[in-house]
Amino acid sequence: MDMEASVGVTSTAATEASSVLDIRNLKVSFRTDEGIVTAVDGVSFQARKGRTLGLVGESGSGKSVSTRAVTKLLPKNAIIDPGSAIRLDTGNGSLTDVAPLPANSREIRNIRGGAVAMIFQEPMASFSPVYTIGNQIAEAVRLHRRAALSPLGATETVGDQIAESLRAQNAKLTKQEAWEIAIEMLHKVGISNANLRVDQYPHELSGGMRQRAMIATALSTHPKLLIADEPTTALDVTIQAQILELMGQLQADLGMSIIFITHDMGVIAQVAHDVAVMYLGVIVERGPTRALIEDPKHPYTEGLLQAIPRMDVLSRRLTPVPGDIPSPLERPAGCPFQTRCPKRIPGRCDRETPQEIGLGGGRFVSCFLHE
Amino acid sequence: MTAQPLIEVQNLKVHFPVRGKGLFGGVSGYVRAVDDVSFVINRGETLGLVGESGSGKTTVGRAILRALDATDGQLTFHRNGAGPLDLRMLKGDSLRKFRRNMQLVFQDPYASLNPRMTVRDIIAEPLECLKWGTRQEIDDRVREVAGKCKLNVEHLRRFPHAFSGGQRQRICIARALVSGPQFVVCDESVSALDVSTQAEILNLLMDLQDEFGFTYLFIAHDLSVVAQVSTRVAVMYVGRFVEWAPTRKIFFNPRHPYTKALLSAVPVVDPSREFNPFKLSGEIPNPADPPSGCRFHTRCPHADGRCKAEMPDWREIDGEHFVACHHAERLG
Amino acid sequence: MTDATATVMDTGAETAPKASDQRKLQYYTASQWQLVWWRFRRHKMAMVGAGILILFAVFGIFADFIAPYGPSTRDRSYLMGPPQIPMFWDRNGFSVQPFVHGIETTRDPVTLRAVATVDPNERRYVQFFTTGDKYKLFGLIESRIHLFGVDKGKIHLFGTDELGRDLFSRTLFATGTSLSIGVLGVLVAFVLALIVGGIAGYMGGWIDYAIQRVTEIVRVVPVIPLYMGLAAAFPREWSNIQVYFAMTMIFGLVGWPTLARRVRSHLLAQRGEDYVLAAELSGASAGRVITKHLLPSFTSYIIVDLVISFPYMILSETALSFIGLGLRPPSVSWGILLQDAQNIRAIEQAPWLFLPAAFVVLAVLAFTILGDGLRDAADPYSVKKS
Repeated sequence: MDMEASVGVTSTAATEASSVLDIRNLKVSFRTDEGIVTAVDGVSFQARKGRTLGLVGESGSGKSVSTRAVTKLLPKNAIIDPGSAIRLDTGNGSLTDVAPLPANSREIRNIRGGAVAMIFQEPMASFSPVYTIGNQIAEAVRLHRRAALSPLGATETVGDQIAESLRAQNAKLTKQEAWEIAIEMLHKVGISNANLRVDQYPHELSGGMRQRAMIATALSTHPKLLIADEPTTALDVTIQAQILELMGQLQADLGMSIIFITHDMGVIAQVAHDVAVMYLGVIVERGPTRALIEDPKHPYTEGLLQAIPRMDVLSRRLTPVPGDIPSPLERPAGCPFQTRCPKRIPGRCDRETPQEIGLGGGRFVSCFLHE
Repeated sequence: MTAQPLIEVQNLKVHFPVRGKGLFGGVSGYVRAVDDVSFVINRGETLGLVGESGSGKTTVGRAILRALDATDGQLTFHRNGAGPLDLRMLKGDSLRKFRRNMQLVFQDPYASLNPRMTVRDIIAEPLECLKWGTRQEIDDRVREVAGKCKLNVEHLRRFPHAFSGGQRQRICIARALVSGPQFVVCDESVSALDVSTQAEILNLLMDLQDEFGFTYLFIAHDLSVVAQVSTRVAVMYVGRFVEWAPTRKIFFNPRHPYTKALLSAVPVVDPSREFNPFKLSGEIPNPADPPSGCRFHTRCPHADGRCKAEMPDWREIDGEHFVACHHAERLG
Repeated sequence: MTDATATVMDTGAETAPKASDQRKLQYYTASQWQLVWWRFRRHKMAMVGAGILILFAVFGIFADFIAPYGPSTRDRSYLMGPPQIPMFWDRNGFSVQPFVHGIETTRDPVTLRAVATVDPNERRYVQFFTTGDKYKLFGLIESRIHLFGVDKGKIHLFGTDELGRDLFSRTLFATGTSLSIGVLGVLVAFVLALIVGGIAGYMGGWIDYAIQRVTEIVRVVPVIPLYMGLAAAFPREWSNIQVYFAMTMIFGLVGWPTLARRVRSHLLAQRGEDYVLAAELSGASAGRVITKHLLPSFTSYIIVDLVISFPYMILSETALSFIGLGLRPPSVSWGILLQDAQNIRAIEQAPWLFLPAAFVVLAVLAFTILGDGLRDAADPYSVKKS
């Protein structure tokens, strides 16, 4: 355990850090009235300890679905293809494939809010309106402390204070202890007067405060992986800046891996170490953030970056990606982007599906132009 | 070309009463959503209005459109050749008739289209309300405007559920333009869209402005979008303007600490640039109980005793550059 | 699957009209009601419910024609007779045409009561479009033709009651009466609800507040004692028609508050929608906003509410008539038929008198299931957002 922690510290800059989550060839479809709709079509990515992976893409690109598959928080009509592998560090340091586990299994329930925590765009939706913030955090803490008794959900620590206090107790924490952890977590996420706020109901907090409280709840059980699904989209820029900074600090402190889902390339550029660009259920390009943004290889990434309005060049004209995103019901044959691609190779892109090609430096692209 | 004003707003105040509970609950206070705001929008120009949620920017737009009633102040519409018109005096039928001159493009392209009407009926609605012409004439006009907004004739038979967000927003724009307005308020009109669609809709709005000479009030929280479309930009904070200037000046030479904070908080798509937002502590105050003096003093790193006590004047610091800050000169 | 799409793409990505295109276009141009229907159609149970209700409605409306006899026609030769089920063969062999056995009335030597005994050697063949009692369909078309009958004597599918009246015929007539009371009651309630809820929802403010409180007062009045009090107050000399309408009025007057609250909340929710503001900013008058935008926006929900409130009306009628405070014989309704079945003799000797209860249960279930299906289908736009 200690060895792993030290690896995490020394290799923050290195490209190869230990994986917390390794998704291979994930395929998720939905049974709908119009037939089977494939939302995620063969996606592979890794989330590494102490690093942030940015998942970026337009609405309907499958970025939320592919991460929700990890905790099986998918609608009932979702089907995870049996060929998919979701290998997750559930706490004991080795990766376990959770793809075949049923959504209501004990293991999955232990993972949710245990090894994997999630935060969402709308914090109100993840809080119950009838309990105080403190109650909800304390409940999460107590629930997953008990979960630690089962081998899969055992939470391992990396020397964090809270985790230390958790580990000190083998049995379930008392209410008082859980309550203290709740106050401590609220304090940690920058909520002033945490011992007063802990008694407030979610609706009594402002948007930014709620987001902080949700982060506190998510991190209170000390997850290995935090999935942040558009956590700042509904916030004002000044508050967004505060939250992004907070998440950065907490990551440095706790060493968890973060998957940051957003449609905002600006946010990605500032918070993610690695980025994966999704389009119509596939990852078209992935790699270290800086290299990817400075030198995009896939025409879609290029188009997406060009479409972003800039503040340093006042041009009055923007460069949209031509065409509309096809409905997931009618995925184009061949490369999913070929219907809008300015560099399309006729007769090739509309027939064959490009495979992911390694470009070196941890970069991968799915495009025939780079063969 | 000398700039001609189209919309003139003087000392606009919009206060919403906060009522106690029950039938006989009295008014217990007022939310000062907009509190003494004055500005002019010139013909053919775009005023970008930015601010955080709760700053009152949407209320300004709705008050000009007479979607809600102003508490105080003057709203003047300078008609072409017919002289100024006091918008607040319009009532009943005359207000309904005048609505053709000012339109709104909403934020949410899903909620703003009636799902039970065909696209044709949605776009035709302003014309039908005006009894603009025969069915044939209305059809022709709808087709013409739909074409301008890059919708084809086939689309007109469909219902909104057949369209994506970007296409829906084009329908909203077509509805806003069909009656030939001079003034269009775009209230966060692109913030619900994906980046690539957003670029397309912004381009469309710009093209239409070039072609028909619309005047826009462009309300947004996204500064980078405002930077692209605006002639001038106004920054709003808790019901008041803090800065107003030509776009270039706002973005390259901001004078108000709040504007600076906003600008630095926008994450830029440049990983080489250090993201070091000018830290603003706390959150936007409740407009029902605004702070004394300068409303920004509770979060401003430069605030002193004067800021707390005295409301700063709205003054021209530089040519066409207005700011409300005691220390604008000192902070440079 | 990908292969299939690939070939489609190959054969003509731009020109050839695809088979799926037609379907897509149909979806794109589908109005609200089409979308509701498509969604509803997939709800198998609700379709069954709707089928049952349609069948009942047909029974009720065409009772004169479908029932072989009138509701009061007596068959003195078959008192308290058990149901006769048409058969195709007996010990005398097979017959293509279904038949029932003949009846012979004998006196029980002990009790001296007339007892119907089956004569297995006599066959009464079932025929369709037979001539029978004269009736006026809808009070207009005079006819003697009935859907079915037997060549000699009478047929009693559900048996007879102690006066020898055909229970099947009576059940059909009762279905008509009970359903129509439900329909009228719901209509009265709906009109009241639309007016009251509409005013409350559209005007808002203190008017809304006052109306809400009145609505609550009506809602808290306990229903059963109220029904009983009102029904007991009907003058004895009122004709059955008068009682019938008085009952629909009572059900309507008691039923409106729930509906009114639904109308109000739908209105309030829709009024705040952007598209309503868009219409107002387009220069639409209040009348136009109400008729073109607000009313269509909640008709589908209101229909659901109406369907769901139906069973209450039917059960109220049944209950009132059962305890003798509603309709009175010679009218027939489900409640009256069940009243006939409420003595120990019926349970012991003539359990078939309970058959109308099955109709009541079936109707209530069908309405509930149908309402469920409609509720799921009522808002075809709900999934589109997100």
